[in-house]
Amino acid sequence: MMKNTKKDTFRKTDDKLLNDYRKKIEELSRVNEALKMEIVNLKQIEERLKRAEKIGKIGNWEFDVAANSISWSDQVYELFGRDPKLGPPTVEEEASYYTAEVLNRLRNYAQNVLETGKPVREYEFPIILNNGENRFFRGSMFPTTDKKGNVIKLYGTFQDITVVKSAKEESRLREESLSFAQRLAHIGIYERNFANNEVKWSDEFYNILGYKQGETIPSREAFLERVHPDERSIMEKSILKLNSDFKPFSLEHRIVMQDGTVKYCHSVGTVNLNDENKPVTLLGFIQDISEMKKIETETLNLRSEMARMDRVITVGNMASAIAHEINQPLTSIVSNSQAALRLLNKNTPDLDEVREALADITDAGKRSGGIIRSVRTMVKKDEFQKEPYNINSVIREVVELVQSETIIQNTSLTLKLDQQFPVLIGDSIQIHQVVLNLVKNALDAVQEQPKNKRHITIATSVIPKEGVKVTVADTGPGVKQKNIKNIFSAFYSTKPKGMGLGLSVCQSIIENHGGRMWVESTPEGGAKFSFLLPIKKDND
Amino acid sequence: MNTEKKGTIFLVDDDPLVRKAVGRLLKSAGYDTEIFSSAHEFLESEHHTDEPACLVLDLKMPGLTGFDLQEELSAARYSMPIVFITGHGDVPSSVKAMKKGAVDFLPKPFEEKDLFNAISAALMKDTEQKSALIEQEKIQQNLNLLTQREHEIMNLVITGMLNKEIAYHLNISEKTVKIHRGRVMNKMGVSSVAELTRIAEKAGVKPIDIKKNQNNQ
Repeated sequence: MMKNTKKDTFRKTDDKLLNDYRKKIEELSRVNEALKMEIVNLKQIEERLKRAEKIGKIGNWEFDVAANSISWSDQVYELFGRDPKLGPPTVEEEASYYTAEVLNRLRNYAQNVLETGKPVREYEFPIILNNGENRFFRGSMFPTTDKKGNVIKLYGTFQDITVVKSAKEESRLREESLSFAQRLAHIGIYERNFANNEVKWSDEFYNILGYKQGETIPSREAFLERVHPDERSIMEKSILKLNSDFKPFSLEHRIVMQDGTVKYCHSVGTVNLNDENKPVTLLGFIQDISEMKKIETETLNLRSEMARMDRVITVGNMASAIAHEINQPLTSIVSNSQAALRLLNKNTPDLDEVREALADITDAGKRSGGIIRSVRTMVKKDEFQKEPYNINSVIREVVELVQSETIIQNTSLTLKLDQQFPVLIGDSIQIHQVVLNLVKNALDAVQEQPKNKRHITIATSVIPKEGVKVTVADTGPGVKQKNIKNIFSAFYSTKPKGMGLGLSVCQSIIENHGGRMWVESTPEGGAKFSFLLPIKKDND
Repeated sequence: MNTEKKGTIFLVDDDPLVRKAVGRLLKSAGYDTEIFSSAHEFLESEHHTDEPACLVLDLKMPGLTGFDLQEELSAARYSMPIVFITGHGDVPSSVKAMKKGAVDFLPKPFEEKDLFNAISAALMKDTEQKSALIEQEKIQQNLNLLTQREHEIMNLVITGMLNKEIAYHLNISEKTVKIHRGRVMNKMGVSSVAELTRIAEKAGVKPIDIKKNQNNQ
């Protein structure tokens, strides 16, 4: 029985054991399954990690503090361009990838992690590959501690960010140089997105308009507010047209700053269209051309001042010549008036003679006036009356004035005046001077000819689109080729008594009127002086 | 006074306004006036007159200038006194004109009294000049009456030589010298050696340089 019992007991125990064992095996096999699964998972994760490392160019590394040894993942080898067969580098070998400065920085990080146990999550540093290539890495550094909290290992990642870095660097440089260029060229950019109507201004755009970033919200209205009132409506119209028809515009305009300062600007507006001809962005460029304008104006002023000085100097040089010219009529006035007094004091005054003397005094007075006017024209800046006048009337006046002289000098004077005549705008007295001067020159010229060969022709004609041409032709000896170049220069004269003022004054008068003057030879060898005066259009 | 003949003024100026005015003034003051528009025209004209005359001349003219005319006129034995009028009253021109014998140099415009003063001076100069010329002509006529010998003796007398010296020099007798000398004085209408010397000088007869003469012999 006992035996049985024992046997039973054993059996019972055995069964229990067996049961337990079975359970254990089942559990183990479950664990094993789980482990298998885990391993598969891990493998998958590792694969994924490797792939990720490869794609992201990320590798991980480990450093055993006690052993002073480095271990690298496959990707790190690739990143460093190191043959995996060589195995991980020694600490010294790794140092050779860095410059002294970088090595120092990395060692400081490591020292820091070792001492504090805190990781360095992100840092960037350049490395130099063995083939001399430069790379830029992003790294991280974490500690592994033992139970006592001592750091026994360091691990972390390396990521190659060379491409990102250079792209970033490039765009930073590009932005910098663009903004520099904008500042330098005083060009501001206005950008409006058609999709959301968002308006952006570049820094220089703010600068030019004198707005502060953050204070003023970029808008068309804010821009227009600064545009000079005189040009605001055309600017507004141009912008509207740009928005509706996408028609680009280019305007020179002024802007008025808060403090009233006026700037000269050149604004250009365009619209970028997509492939379907739909507007994407509106681009506006504004350039501050005040400086350019200033220089331009200064140059112009300088040039006109120089021309004026030139004339002043010439006039200064010609003081005696002018005095001579004036002294002639003055002599006539003084002598005539003294003669008239003598005549009147006689017992039987010859009143006709007195009358003639007085008439001569009037003539001489007029002549002095003419000379003074001419001189004033030379000295004064280009100021003259701008009134409508009829050129034919002016010519007739001149002819009347020289009539007696032409008769005395046996010279015939022919008029060929175009009767369909547009009204000219200018100073008729000055034009009168010019015609008189030319006719007098012609009179002088023909004196060298026999009496039957002394002819002067004055003609006017309209030249379509150009203006009105006036010519004074004579049958004199003509202008010698060598004199043609200088004939209009001040103080140049071929006449023994000429002060060389007449033609130069004439030319400056005509030029002040926007015309030009020239000399040619007639087929008969005489001289033909012409000037062309532009006809003013209504919209000029 | 106005109707009194004062002299003839030849006015040359190329500017018609000036010609007319100055001409009118001169006429109103009683001068005979002849007007020309150029130096050339004046030269071609018959402008000789026994009356006192002068030239009122513009300096700057086309063709012949006032200076050119002055030059031209001074080459002749008789030269009409000139009053220059000019719009260029510059110093160098006036100095040049005066050096060449102009009576005056008037810058335009001038006062009538200045013109008339200058003209009076010029006419006076002309009167003197003309009488001097007449005298000179008379002397010349007398000189023409002298014989070869008498000429010879006169030339020696005016050097201050004594009869004795002249006789020795010409290898003739002193008596002969005396006779010739008397005839010379007579023909020339003078009564003293001093007078003879003055007249000879006016006629342009120069005393003979005896030494030079001797050497030549």
